[in-house]
Amino acid sequence: MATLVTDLRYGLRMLAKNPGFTAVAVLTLALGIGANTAVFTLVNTLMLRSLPIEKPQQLYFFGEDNSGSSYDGPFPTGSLNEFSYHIYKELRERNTAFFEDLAAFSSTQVVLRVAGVKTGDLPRRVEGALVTGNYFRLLGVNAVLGRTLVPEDDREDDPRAVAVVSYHYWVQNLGRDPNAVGNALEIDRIPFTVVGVAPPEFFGVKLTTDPPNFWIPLGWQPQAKAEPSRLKNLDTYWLDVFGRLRPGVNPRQAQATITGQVQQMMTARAGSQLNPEEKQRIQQAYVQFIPGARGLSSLRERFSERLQVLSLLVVLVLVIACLNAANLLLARAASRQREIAVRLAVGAGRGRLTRQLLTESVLLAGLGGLAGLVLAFWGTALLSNLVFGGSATLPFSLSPDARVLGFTLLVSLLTGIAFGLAPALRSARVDLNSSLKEGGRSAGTAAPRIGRLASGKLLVSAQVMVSLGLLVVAGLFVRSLRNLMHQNLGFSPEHVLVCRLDIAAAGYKPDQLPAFYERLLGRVRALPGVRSAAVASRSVLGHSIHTSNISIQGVPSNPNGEIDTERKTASDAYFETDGMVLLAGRAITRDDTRDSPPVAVVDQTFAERYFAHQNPLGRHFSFGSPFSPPGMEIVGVVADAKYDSLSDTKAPPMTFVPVAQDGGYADDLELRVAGDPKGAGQDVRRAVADIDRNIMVTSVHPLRELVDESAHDSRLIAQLSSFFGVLALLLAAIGLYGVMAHSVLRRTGEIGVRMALGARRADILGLVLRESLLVVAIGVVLGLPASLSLGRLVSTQLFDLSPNDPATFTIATLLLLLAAALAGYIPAQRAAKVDPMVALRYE
Amino acid sequence: MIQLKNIEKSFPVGAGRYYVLRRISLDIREGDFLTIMGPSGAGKSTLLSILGLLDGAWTGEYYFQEGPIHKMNVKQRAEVNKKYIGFVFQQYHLLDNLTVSENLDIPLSYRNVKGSERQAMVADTLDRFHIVGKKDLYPSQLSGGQQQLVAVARAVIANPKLILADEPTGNLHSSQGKEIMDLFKRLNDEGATIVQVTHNESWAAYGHKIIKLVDGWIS
Repeated sequence: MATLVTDLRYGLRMLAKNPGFTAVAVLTLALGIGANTAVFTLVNTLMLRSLPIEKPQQLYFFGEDNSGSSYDGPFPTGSLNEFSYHIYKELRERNTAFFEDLAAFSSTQVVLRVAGVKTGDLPRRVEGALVTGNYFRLLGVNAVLGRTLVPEDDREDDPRAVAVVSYHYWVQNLGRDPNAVGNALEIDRIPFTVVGVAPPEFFGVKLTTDPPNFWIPLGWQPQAKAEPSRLKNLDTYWLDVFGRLRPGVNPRQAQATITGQVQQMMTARAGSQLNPEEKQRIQQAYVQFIPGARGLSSLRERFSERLQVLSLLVVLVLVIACLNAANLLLARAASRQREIAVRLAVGAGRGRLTRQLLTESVLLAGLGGLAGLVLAFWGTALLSNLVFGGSATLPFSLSPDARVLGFTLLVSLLTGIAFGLAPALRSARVDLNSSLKEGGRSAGTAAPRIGRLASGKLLVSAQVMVSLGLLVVAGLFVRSLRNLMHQNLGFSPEHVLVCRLDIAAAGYKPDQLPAFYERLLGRVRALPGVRSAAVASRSVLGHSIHTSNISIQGVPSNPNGEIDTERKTASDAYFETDGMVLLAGRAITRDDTRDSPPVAVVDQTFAERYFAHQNPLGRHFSFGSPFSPPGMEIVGVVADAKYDSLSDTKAPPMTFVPVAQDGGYADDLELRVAGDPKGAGQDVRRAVADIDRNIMVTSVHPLRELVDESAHDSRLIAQLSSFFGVLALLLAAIGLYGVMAHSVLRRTGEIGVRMALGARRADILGLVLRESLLVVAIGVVLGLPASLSLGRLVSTQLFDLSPNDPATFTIATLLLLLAAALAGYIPAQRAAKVDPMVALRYE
Repeated sequence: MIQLKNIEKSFPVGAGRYYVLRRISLDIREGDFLTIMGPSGAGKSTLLSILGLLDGAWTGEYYFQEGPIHKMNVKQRAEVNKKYIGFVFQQYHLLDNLTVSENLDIPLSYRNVKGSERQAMVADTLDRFHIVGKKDLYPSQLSGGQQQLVAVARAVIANPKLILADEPTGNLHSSQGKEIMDLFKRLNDEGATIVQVTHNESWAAYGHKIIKLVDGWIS
């Protein structure tokens, strides 16, 4: 122990004596360790951290997070992720032997209009959750203020108007008011009493980028969702169910029993009308238990690939940082040769010396780790902002915990050993006799000196190899992003403004909608600069996909697969406003009213998939099964477009139904304007307010912004990989410069002799440059196969690009060669300027 | 104490070998003060390195305290070096980043002497060599003579039986050199065996015995 303290003390002193070396090494390592810590913080938060609840390991979810979907119909099949209220209640009653309790919450959050707390505050749209009354009790989560919901709050027919608000909401909107508990909070014009404030670290059991701001009893579903009660509907699967398994119960056994029970309930529900196909669907339905300690999260799945790529990138950066640090240590070892020799001469064993040198490198890595933690603190905030797109509230705290600190400590330790071991072993193999004889001026014999230089070059080649990998990955992502942004979207996003309205919250009933749309469109079309306007259930890239089974007149149902389509409702001028191309027939017009024959416009994929080699125009189909006459007549075909995400490789079959015939809400108002669409936002808000002040315009975005947002993930990866690629290139160039400068310095005498013997400056320049390029060439040759493998690793994240893209490989290689030429040129030029007379006196 | 029999050291040169030392046979008794002399390149320092077990690439037989060094492996030789031998160099070879007392502490730390004991031994040695006032200075703050004094102190702090000195006064002026040689004499009188390499006849006279090396042979 005393020896370790002595070594540490001496190591610190050595580092303090060489501030330049220490600063460069610590900074290099801090970049590597910091980047890894920042990414690990995200991995830890998203993938590893448990929910802040009581005994989280006992928690099991019934099915996965299905991103807030629901199913309408008697026979869901496959893995069941949502359940009807009826099934939830039955399961809860029947399984007390397996579970201490079961609870449920609505799989989709409710977005409700919350009135301002202070006079004059405008109402706001706020995300909240509908939960069963035993939700908090089951989780073992207590309120920091007041109480949580209790089962008595959630009476099926007469729920209490009570709400628990999140800590974040309490801080941001209620000003941490301790008297907030007991006060009324007007949610959708209903005065709810705030009964408690949830703890700060609790964001619900579902990790989303928009965690709930309040929890209200499940019984409020009809009011909150402005729709008929789902509590009594046996065929709507809309609840996420979870339970606390009793200690000692085998989850597999409980899972099998519950699957049997659910199948039984579905069969009983169908009664005697069950046909073989439906019977098969029920038999294929099953419940899968998902361990709930870390919460339910589609975020985890969504971000896991991104985090994997990020982890790969930062590990490569750390490898480069290690190689750079090893190179620095090797260079410094030259000046410490005498010290090492003296230590050996006065009795140090080589093992003991290696340990001392390793202590120094671990110390250096420790300092790098400390600086890395500081960098990681900023880096994590920056990364989370990039990764999660600057969500206002994240469902987790990104502060480093013991696991993150442990990770940094471990990485620092391993890093210190990784970059310190080779130089330490090499230093401890010093030739004592000659080192001491040379008096420390220049230590070691010629052989180790050359060896050390060769080791340095080898390390640079290794750096080049890893850098090439990073550059190739960066290049692939950049070119993939370019493909993504320059593809044919199927619509024209320029000059289009998308405004989202909340018509339902303003109290409009379906029968009032056609007249309202008429007025709204008439009003906005008259605005200056507006070329066309339309309403739709969702704009392109609106992220609301409604899939329906269809039956086509004259086509028997397909036993091998479902015939389905995604659907949107749209008004007249919709295709014109979005710039979608009509391929055949006609678009939706004002004449497609509730009283006219039902019509639909379909996309190219729909037409090709269901009417291959036939003319779809004039054909009829209906939603659901079997075909219900007269169905909708296909009156037009539009070109495929990106409906959900830019990275969708193939458009789904899509049906556009006239808004007047669908009868549903069309919340997205789209305008094509003459100039900058942003400028039209205020006019639209005024126009909407003129029609009805109760209608909230919840968002206004140019369509181009939505397109860019859809490429967020790809842009993020391209930006980060480019950043790390450039960093790698820079580190490799610094490494090469260091080694070549060292080489030139050592060979000053030789260069002098060469020049005295007739070498021209160009010859010397060429000599040094050739050496630099050789080092890089070796790295490139070794790096190409490694980069091909890396490319294949990320191939699933590329859009319309081969992982072996020759242009990317060529550009990455050329960039490296260019950097090498620049890094080698400075020492080469210095060598070419050597005065032979001075050089010959140098030795 | 030491017996060398036909010690040879050579390097391969082309098809043949270049001999640095040839058939060196030598007896050194406990308490001897031996001086090795000879022109540059005669092999003096190499012989001293072999005696001090810093150089292991030689042939012949080497007995130390009747133990056959030539049969020992590197680790065993390092143990013998640690236990019995102290070195003094012409260039002092103090560690620049350590203070005088830390330089003295180094050999003890490598011999696993306990911290408290080490402190006492360093304090004793500082006192014995009259350098207490310089204990916190760095080598660069000392004169050449003072540095060599510290180097000798470092060589003897672990009580070695054999002190090997490679031109210890080579970088010192005469009065400083005399001081160091008087110190060696005193250490020899106290029982230490000393082998020194020198070009200086006056310093050679401090020893009991002189051997001369020419082209690797004892003449």
